[in-house]
Amino acid sequence: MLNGLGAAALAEGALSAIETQWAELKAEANQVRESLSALARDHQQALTAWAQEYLKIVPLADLDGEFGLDLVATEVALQEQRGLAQEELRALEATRGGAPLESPLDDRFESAIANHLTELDALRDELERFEFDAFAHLLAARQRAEREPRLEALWRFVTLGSSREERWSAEIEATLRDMDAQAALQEHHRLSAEHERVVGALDAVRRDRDAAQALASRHQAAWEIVHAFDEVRERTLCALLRERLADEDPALVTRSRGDDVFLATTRLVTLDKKRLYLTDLLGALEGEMRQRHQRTVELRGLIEIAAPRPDEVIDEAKASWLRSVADSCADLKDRMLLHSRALHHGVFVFDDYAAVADRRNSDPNALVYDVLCGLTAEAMPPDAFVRAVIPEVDRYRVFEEARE
Amino acid sequence: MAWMVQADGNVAAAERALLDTLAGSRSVAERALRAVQGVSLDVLIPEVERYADRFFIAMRARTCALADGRLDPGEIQAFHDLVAAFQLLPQDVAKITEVAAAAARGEDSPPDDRVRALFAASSFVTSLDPEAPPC
Repeated sequence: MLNGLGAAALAEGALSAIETQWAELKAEANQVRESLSALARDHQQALTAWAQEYLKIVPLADLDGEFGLDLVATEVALQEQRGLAQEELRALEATRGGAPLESPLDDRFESAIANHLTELDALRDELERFEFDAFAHLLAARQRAEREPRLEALWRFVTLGSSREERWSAEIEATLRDMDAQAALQEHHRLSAEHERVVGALDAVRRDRDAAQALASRHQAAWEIVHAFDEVRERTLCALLRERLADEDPALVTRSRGDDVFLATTRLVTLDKKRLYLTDLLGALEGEMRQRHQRTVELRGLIEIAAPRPDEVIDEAKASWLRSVADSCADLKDRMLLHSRALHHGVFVFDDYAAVADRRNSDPNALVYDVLCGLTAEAMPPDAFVRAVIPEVDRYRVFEEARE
Repeated sequence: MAWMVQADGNVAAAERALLDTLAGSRSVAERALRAVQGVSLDVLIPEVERYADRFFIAMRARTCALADGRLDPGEIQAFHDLVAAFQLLPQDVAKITEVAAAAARGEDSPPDDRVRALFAASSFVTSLDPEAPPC
């Protein structure tokens, strides 16, 4: 007999235990996600390696269909680009009177810029002493008078501006001490003009530097096309091949294309499978997490109902479920984590792609998971668990069983 | 303007320089000063036909009245009479009051767009001497 009070207490305990299980599963799922990220990076490298090997072995003209034509067209375009780059290089070198263009930039621009910046700093320091209100007012009034002399003369007269200017002038003399207002205005004007001149010179040097940099960039681009043609060609064609691979099954590439291509292909295929298996495993872990979430929802619902009725007797079936739910979930979680860690570790650390290539060579239809299990020294989980987690393995087993 | 310059019986050097500038030449300024000597403002007011000229005259009158930092009742009444005689718009009267108060506090009030527009419409925008070179 279990009353509402006891049921609520039992449910609280189960809730806490299942939340802990959920956190353990989540930690494992996060580790699988990290492994998947690492495999994705490996896969990108493997794709590049595959494309490079492929390009070495297979003549472009041998490639079939539209894709082959695309590659040939790209090759032709690259050759034309090289011709244009050679012309550009000759023209650029001619503009320099035959002077070498490899390092067209020296530090004269930077040192001139540094000198101008130093000059500007010094001028700003000198101008700083004129930064006070009375001087700013007088300067503004004089600047207005320069722009609109008749209006300013009238405005000074009707607003008694001369008395203000006399006061500002007195404040300027008192502040600066070594010059009167008129001398201060002249000195400020001289410094401002000099500041403007240096800013103009600085802009001019920067423009010259930018022009030289643009020339150097054009030269660098042309130089690379001409002198690093093979590298550029390989990079460009590899990029095309990698795009192509995104849509095609590299497993179709046979050993007849050459050992290196086959090995690179096997590495790609195996990495793809490793990603597939770990993605399936992640799905299984997330399924377990969802189940626990569902249990916590049920337990919270039960607490909500039982807590306000401490004396009410709980149905025996529900009481029995309450007593066992946390333990049964714990058993399932322990089994899941034990096998999940074995599968995760075994799949992730395996990297003997040459052995896989050999095995696939002798048995092209072998399941990659079985090849991997046969080659690794890691303890893999029971087949029943793997079949439950990885649909590909289960389908293969069903197929084998039907054949037998 | 010549009347205002000599209103206190003394033409300061700065005032004379301004009058010379506005008149376009010293001789025209001299003639203007002679013409207004001993003439009452009441007589001159009807002769100030341009609204913009009236604005600047009223501005000068207000700032002069406030030069000592305060307005006595007589100065306030005189300003009201001037504003009424000149038929100045309320927003222009407010502008005059505001600028003159700032000037009395020693603050600068640069000409704004309204002042510029009035200046452009005033007789001060061009020289009084038709033969003087443009400023």
